[in-house]
Amino acid sequence: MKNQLLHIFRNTPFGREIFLQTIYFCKTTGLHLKVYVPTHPQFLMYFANEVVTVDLDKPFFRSSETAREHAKELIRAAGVDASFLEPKGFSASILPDIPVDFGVMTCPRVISGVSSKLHLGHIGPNVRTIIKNAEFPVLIPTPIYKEWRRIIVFFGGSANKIKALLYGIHLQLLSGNPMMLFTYAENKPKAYYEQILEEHNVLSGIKSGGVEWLFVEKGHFKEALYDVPPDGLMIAGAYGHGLIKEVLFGDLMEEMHAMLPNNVVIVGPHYRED
Amino acid sequence: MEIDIKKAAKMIGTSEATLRRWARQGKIPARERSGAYVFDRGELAKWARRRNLTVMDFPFSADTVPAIREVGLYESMKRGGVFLSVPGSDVEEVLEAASKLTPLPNTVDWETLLDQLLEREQLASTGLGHGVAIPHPRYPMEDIPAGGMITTCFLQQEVDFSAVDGKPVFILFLMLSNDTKTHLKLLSHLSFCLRDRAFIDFLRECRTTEMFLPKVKEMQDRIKPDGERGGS
Amino acid sequence: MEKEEDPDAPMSLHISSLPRRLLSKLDERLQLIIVAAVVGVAAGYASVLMNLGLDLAEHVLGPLRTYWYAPFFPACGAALSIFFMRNLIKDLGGHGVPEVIYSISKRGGLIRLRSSFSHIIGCLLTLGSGGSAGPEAPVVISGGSIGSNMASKLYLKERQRVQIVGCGAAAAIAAIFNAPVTGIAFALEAVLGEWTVINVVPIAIASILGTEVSRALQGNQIPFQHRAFHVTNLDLTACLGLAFLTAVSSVILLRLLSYINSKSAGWVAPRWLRAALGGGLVGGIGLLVPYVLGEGYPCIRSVISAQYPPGLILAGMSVLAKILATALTLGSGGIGGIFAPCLVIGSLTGLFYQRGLTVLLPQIPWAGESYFGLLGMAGVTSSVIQAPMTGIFLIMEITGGYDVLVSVALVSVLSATLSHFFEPFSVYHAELIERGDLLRPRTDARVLSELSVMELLERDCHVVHPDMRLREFAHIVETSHRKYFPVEDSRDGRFQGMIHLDDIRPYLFDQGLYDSVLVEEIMNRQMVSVSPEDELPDILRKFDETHSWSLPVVQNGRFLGLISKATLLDHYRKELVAQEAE
Repeated sequence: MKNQLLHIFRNTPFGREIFLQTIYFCKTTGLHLKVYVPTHPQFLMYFANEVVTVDLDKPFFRSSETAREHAKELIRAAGVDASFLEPKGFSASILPDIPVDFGVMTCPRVISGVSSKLHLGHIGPNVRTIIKNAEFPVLIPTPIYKEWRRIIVFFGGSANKIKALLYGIHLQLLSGNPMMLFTYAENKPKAYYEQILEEHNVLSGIKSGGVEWLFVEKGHFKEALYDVPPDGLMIAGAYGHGLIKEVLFGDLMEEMHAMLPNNVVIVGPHYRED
Repeated sequence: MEIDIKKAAKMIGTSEATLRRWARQGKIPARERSGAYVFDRGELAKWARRRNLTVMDFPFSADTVPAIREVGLYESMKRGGVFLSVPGSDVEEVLEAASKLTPLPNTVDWETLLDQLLEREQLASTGLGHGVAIPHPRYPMEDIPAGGMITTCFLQQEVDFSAVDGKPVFILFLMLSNDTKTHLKLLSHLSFCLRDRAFIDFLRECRTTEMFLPKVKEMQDRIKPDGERGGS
Repeated sequence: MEKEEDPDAPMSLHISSLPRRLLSKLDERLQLIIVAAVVGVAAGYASVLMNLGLDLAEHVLGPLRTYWYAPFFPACGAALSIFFMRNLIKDLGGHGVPEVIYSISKRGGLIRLRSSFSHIIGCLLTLGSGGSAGPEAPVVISGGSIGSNMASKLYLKERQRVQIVGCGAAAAIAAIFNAPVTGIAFALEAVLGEWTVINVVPIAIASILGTEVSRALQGNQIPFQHRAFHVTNLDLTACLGLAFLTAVSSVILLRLLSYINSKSAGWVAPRWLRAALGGGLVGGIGLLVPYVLGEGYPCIRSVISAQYPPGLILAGMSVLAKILATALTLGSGGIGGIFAPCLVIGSLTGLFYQRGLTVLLPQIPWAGESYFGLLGMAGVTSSVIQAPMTGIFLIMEITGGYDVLVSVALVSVLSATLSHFFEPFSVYHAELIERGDLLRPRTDARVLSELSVMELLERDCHVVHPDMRLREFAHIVETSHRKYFPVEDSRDGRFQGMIHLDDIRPYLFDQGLYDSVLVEEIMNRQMVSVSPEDELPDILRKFDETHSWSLPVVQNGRFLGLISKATLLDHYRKELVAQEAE
């Protein structure tokens, strides 16, 4: 259901923080929160062209009864509209299928895995595959609960970046929080980017809406990042590359992730508005 | 257990003609007995379940068919009682008096009834016009006997009910029922009676309870079954 | 530097999609054939790999099987395979063929990439060390997975991907048995479940190529030899008895397997230990009856060439031993298929029967051990996998002739019919059917599973409020064409109930009631409602139970729209028609 957010609940203190972020997101945007409390160590997501196996590490699926109780408490305390997901399809007796027709999904930076890789920039392989295939964007919250009051769209000019902008506009409508653009120029003049906005019929809206546009020339990138408001929700697009190269994000992306303490929503190449 | 095609059709939820065709085509297990198709109930149920069809498993004995009590104005008014000179100078007072007079079942007390009556009255006036009002609780009440109950209260003095035609009310029909359908049926029958001017005049002049009920019976007999209206 | 991408086609990506660009220029059928060919070859190689691995294992462990410590091999092998599958590869999936059927049935042919090699390695560990199972299922799921992922990468549509998975399965079986027609039959009969023209051509190609690859690299597993069989009418009559016996063998196998499968988890909790014990027990049986170990092709070969060690009792014990060993291996969690064990059990059953006949009625010149052995194979395969055509074709391809066609058909069909009373479903389908996950094309269940509530939702409803008077409502009814009216609370918009016109028709024209009846007094509060997440079979049941033709769709207390039987019929028919193969 496009008006729902999927959250895989992890029964740890960090998991709680992320859950609170998700709850905040739902409250701000009015989406319905669908919580999955795993009881098996794996689950499958069947996208249109790939079936993604998500391996969960132990804290996700041990003691699922207490996990449910904790989740319920947090939901009740926040007073948010929520329900639990009970998987109906099973690829094998211990392999539940999780539906993929959600509006957005929350993933931590790494769903399974080697905690040594948990340095800030890294986004785990499971999450990357989900982003690459999903028709919904993925919310990656900061490790500690942090509210966001505005939306910062990283607008870079190519196909997927416009999707990020479209999603940003969508979120602005839902949440009522103001939106701003951030562009790293890469040799192209501002007019070039304006042209792209024009082609998608959003330029006039942006101009008349008084949307702030932080336009950064090459070379000052890292310094410019300092100016990115920390209380903003970052929305960035991601590419898909072909069969061999699994690199989903350019170097810039990883740098941004490593340096910015913001909540991020990544809009993948298959994102659809409807 | 063997059943005939009529029951079988009901069970599967399809027409007899279709069932006959299926039997002929061999799509459904059936036997022929003196020219007609008969079915085995267990076999049929299994056949339907295999194909994910809902089986309407009716209990097939006649005596378990639930008795449908005919909803009648006369019976319900008799149950509710007829009272004269009910005191009160405004809506609340008369409703209170009426609530106390109504022969309620043990599980309902008159205060609860009064609250419900007032709640309903606030949403929209129950004054139908021509001096008649039909107060009733906002929600159907359980434990009211099936067929409903109407307590007729001739008021001591006329009371302003903010009725549609502005006229003050001289008679209350306090209507109680345990489900919406009964309520609507009673209301509809009552409304039919009230359309007759002669009946309204009769009500205004009625002085004794003995006169009242037989007149109601007479009016009721004019209403054909299934709500078809006669006369008027 | 990031490449500039064509904004209109997010799918046309990197240069390495050259094959896809080339492919998309061709006609759809040709596309399918080319991909089928590639998959056929790939599956062929997978099967060769499997066989080479098994040969190697046999070479190394074979001579050691007579020692007292031999049972440790299958025990370790089974435990290792569990460890490998669950901890290393994290492939927690079930057994091969049901997973492939599930993916075709419900998941548009999507199979995880890791399944293309995990089952093969797991099976090599289980079988190579001596476990009693078949190498076919792992190769089937490998072939299927290779096909599926290739189809996905080339962005083929779902229907084509399903066909390619079928191709993979066909090629796998064809390669292992060196029997192309058997491969085709297996794919159509057991995996895809439909014999349509559009399927046959690519499957046939894959099957043939798989066979060729396998022949070129390794030779036959079950050698073909045109044998002349002198079959008399008495033999044909004897087939009846054989069919009965094979049905019995099959049912025992299935029941025992199911029993061990369901109970063993309770006896021994850690999976690796369970598998190890199972393997160990099998190893023990192997000390007594060595033919029981492994996939059993040597056993089949010896029966067909009438060289199995003599003795009626021995034959009988062999049958039981193999049944037990197979049930133990597979039931305790070993990785492998059931096809080869069926052949072995069948051949031994046939052998036992023939020897029994010879003992009971020695004056009659019964047909030889190989004849009954072959028939037994067909019989058990038919009963267990419920794929009689596959069994028949296999035997015919093995013997290279039609001499035994009548007998084979007789035994196959009869055995399947008899065992059907006890085990109505194929071993491949049983768990799927239990979960309601077996959806064959163009069946009611399949059509219903494709439709969704949101597709059927009718939103053009006139909403009313509980505090509305009958007068206003009557006015709305005048202008609406609907019979059902949802009632929403005017303050918070929550769904309160529905008004069905039929219920209030008698009162609708009673002017006297117009100002004294409120909508909340005539609405039905106990509405059975439908959630957008409900599955259609449940919704149909709700329709039947409430005797209604329209139901409200409510989500989180909000009314979304109506769902009606009339619209359902329209969509159902169109779905069915869309599903038809050309």
